[in-house]
Amino acid sequence: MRWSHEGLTILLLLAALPLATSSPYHLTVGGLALIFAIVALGANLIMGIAGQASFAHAAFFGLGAYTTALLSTRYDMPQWATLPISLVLSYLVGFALAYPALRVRGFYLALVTLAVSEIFTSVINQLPGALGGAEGIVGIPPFVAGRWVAAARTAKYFVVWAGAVLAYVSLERLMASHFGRIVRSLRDSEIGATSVGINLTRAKTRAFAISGVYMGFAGFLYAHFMQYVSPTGFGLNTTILIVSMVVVGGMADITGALVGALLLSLLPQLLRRYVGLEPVIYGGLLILILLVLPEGIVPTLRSVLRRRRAGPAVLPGHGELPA
Amino acid sequence: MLVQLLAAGVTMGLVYAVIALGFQIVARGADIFNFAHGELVVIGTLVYFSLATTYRVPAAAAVFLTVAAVIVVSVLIERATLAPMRVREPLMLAILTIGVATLLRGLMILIWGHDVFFAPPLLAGPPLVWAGASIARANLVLSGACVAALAALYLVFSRSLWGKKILAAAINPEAARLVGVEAAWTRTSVFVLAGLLAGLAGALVAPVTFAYAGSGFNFVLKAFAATLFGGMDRFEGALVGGMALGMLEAFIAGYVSSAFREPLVLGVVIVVLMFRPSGLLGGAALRVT
Repeated sequence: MRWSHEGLTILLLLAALPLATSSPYHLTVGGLALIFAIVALGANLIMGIAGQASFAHAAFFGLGAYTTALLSTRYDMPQWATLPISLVLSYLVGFALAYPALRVRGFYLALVTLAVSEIFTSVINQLPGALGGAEGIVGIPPFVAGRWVAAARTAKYFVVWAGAVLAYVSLERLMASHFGRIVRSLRDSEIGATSVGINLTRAKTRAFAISGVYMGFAGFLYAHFMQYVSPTGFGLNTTILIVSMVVVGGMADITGALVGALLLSLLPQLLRRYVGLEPVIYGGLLILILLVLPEGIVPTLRSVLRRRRAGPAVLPGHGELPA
Repeated sequence: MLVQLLAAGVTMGLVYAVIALGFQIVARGADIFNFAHGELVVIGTLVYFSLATTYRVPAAAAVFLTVAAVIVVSVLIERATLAPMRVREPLMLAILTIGVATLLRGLMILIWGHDVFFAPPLLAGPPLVWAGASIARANLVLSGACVAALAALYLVFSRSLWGKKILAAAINPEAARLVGVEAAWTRTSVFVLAGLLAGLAGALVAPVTFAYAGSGFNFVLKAFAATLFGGMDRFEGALVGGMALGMLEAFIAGYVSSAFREPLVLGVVIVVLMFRPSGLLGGAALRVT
């Protein structure tokens, strides 16, 4: 069993954030960055690792957030109940969405997932009574466990941090398992995978469902961390942000998704002086990364380090002769 | 009511067909899922608005200049971002066009702001009344121009060597390359045609709907929905899909609910796709991307 420590090191460093700052603003930015890291991990599973052109990430994220938000504000349901309900619902919707994925591929899959995503936000916008409409849902309680209430920003931050560690470690273990290898084979060659006896239907439906669970879990954390949800947070712009995170960090790289999510969550904070330029900067950055480092930041860094460790390349015929 | 809805459906259906055709020409000819196609239409609406109102250019000349400007932008996108891309995987290219779309939207917001503009109609005058339905003169011009554009494209693809080369590259890129159709040349041609269709649709639709810098996704979603309906194995699919989408929208808004028009239309599209995975006109086989 070989553990990669890069991602865990980054997460451990982030645990020290509340020591460095007590400003609620910084902790909110940090917490959101961790939540998006979980979403990016889930998106990377289906898009990067399984290679499926799915663009319904924001809808899954929103599904988890809205499920727990509605259940805890309208029905006063405790979180030990809303968490499993959100996760099971995300799993089932992921499972259901996998069916079009079995029928259609490539372009058509991208179209169907975008349509599903658009239906999600427009239905919420049109139902102010039942789903809060464009105004969103306010008054969501913070994290509660028994008598303990995470009222302070620092406490909320640590809950989200623990969630991110759980998501990272579990996804890494999952990818090292038999299932992980099957999912990767979907990306490389479906025909090859079938020929060695892999059940494509089962592999795809499970990949969609599990990736949905990660994003739904992030949604649950988001709702209780921000204590407010609105449809604008789960529209196409969010999907674009999530896709950018995965690509900037490195497609199919678990640490990459983490790094991409953290970088792109902190970027707007650094660019706050340039109000109105965000789309230009985001779009330009995405284009630049794809053209200059199409592999993404983390895989590029990794291959640079590996090359340095291996020393200068020795051409055959110019090296020492074997004794 | 029925005639009125039919007229509205046909008008918007033709516009959607023109937008969808541009999207599909790029998707088939260059194997690129172009998220930026909607932004090209929006550039068309905004450029037409500025020319027609701020610079008082006559309508026909404004349409012509708009189309030229959008073609330039479209080719520029292809030359500056898609051509230099080293990874030619469809998913990565699609994500690259998401970057392009975001960048274009940002630039349009910088130039035109978040305002919603209303462009003057293509043809002034009282609406025509026929069978109890009133039809704006501008809509007739709009429909006529769309039909002319679709017919012209049909001639390009069926009669000209240029069109036939693009079709060949779309159907079998390898074989086309062997007989001397260069991939880079096809890509540029395809983006010229996409720019032409998007610019035309943008200029024509600006007076009917409105011009707003943030509306790109709305247009690209129409192209997607029309493509899902009609399929893109054949270019006629754009016309069938666009018309089906226009009619469906008009009738859902008229008889069911205008608030739920969008989700219901997309829902119908998904259900159709479950039964016919490559659209209404699509064949059984589908290229794996």
